[in-house]
Amino acid sequence: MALEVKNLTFSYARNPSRKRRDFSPVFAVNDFSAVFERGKITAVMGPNGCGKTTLSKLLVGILKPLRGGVFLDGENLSGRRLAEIGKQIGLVAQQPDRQLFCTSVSDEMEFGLKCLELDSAEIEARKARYLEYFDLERYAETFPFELSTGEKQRLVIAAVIAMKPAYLILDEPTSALDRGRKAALGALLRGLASDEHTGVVLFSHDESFTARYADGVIKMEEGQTG
Amino acid sequence: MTGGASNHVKSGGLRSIDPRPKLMLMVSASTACMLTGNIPHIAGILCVLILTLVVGGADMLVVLGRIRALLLLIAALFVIQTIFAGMDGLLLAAVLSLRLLVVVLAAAILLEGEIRDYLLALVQMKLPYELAFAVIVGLHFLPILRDEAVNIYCYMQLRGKDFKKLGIAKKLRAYSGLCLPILAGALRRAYETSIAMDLRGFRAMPGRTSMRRLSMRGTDVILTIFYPVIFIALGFIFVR
Amino acid sequence: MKTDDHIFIETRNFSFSYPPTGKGTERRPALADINLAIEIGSITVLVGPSGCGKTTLCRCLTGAIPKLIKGTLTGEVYIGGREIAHDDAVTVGALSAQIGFVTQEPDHQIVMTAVEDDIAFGPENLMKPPAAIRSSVDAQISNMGLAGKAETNPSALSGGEKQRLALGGILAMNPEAMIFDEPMSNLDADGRTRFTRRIKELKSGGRTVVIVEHDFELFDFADRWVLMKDGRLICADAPANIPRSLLEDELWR
Repeated sequence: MALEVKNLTFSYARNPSRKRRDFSPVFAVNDFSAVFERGKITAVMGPNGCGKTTLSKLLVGILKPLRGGVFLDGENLSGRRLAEIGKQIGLVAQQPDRQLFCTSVSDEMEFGLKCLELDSAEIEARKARYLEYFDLERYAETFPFELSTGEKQRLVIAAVIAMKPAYLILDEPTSALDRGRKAALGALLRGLASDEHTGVVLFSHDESFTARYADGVIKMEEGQTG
Repeated sequence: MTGGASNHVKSGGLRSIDPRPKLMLMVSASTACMLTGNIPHIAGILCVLILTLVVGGADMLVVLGRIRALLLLIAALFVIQTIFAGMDGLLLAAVLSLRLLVVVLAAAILLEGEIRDYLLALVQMKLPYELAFAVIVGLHFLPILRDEAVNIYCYMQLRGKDFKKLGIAKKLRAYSGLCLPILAGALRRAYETSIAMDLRGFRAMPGRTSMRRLSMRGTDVILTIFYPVIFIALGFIFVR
Repeated sequence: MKTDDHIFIETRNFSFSYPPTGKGTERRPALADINLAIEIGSITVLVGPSGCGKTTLCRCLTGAIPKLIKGTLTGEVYIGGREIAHDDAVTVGALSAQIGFVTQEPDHQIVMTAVEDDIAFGPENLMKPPAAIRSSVDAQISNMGLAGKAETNPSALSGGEKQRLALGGILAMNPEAMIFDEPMSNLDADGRTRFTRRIKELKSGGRTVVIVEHDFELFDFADRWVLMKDGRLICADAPANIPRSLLEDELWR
């Protein structure tokens, strides 16, 4: 059981006849292969601009590969809807602002759980558990956008983890966390890997964090990018 | 490839022309077609605009790609007007559509240039710089907002929201959920940016200097005069 | 009241709270009774858990609080010997020539559509002569490793490049002090090393530097680490003199 990436190639080279005046910096992934096992924390590290964020988007199907593919427990992701993929692979992307959709922290936690069609007792239980773990209970009725960056980051992580996806992808999850929160997150990820058998993929610059909590490290080189 | 490469579109032709003749073209073409109701006159103006694009070396495929949606809108308006107003309305509808076309094409010509040059041109034309900057910063945000909307739409689906499975009412509710992060993000960005601009001394002094200065060459001066003159001349030829 | 000549930034019995939110709940003070004096040409790192008031303190030092962001404020802030918090004659814009602030998100700070224009933005606001702006812009472009990208749209730069652009834009204004809010959060290992080197250069150039950073250990060469918790200043001393127990445990509890 693993999330497998085979000869993944992606670039943003566009059809030249419809030139988009372009904006976001985009980095290519070139012939990249890797296996992310369940029950393990795998860190993916590399210099800025090596395509880490692009890879994280490819892993969940937001971007479609040019060549190669992403295989979830042996099954190719291509053609599957994001909403289906999201139930098995949780993504915590870099900017928490873009991953908050509700008017209260409590609703935010319920958003994904309701989509999973869980019964209300289960929803309440998971919500309470993760709000407490991430020290967010006192904000339950707060508007998520009033939280600080670190609190928003914790909320997104809590909301995604509460869905108990088989795989969890985190893009720079510690960038706005202080060391106490980092340690708490690391311990939780370890627990998920060993108890729930979650496959965790950790994209990070934070060497001390990955050295401490990851089972293995995959280095992305500048050469792997186009 | 990184996105940077596409910023360097080939220079020369329209792109190497000063922004002021292009601004003059935009203003004089739209004014002229609003003042006249004469179809040959407006068609003549249109021809001048198309010639400008072709002679100026604009990549017509790119231009069409940019204005495609607007062209469809104009066509749809034309059809609707003729249906509801019959033959009498046909003439009116044609005039309106042609006028809109002129404005769209003039805007397409404006797009053959850099935003930064228009900003500088507006400031050099003594427009209050606060106003010019407000416009530029606004324009700067539009593509960012669009990219954000796309991202948010994806992240929402990844949290299990299946837009395809929802009924119309629920779909609308789900889409309204999209607005929240987009709006909140835009407001926060605007707020943070306005503070950052102040911290970089914006409006600290009674005025502002500019590192670059645009200067008009002979062709630019000639073109600035040429456009209003030719549009008026076309009027004399066709309107008797 | 004038402060000592070798002190550039000073706060005295300074407290601040953000205005209460709509729900009528009074917020606890973001900063309480801060007394801090920062010497000219020194490097100070603000350390503490999230929400401890580090960023708020930075905003006060730039004048953004209370000039742009309102709230309840007591005590004084001195920049270069002049009280700024209560003096309405002091504007944020005027302070920008003395204190440069580099935001955590470079995207919030970058306003122009070309690298060189963005670096020129600050000096243009200060009405520096065009020729002088051109030379300092060119100097910053090469200094920040952005050679060949003068006309590139900043949105096409990588995270590290954007951050260097943001820094270059502030340095071009030639401020006496620089404040950085979480400068390392978007940088890789290489970028971090380069950044710490740059900070040392700023110091040797005589500038006063204040940094808010989670990874404060990277700044073991700083003159002082200032530890904050719950809006209060707990300890301010040379990194070597700070009790390890405080740094490793108590501060984060």
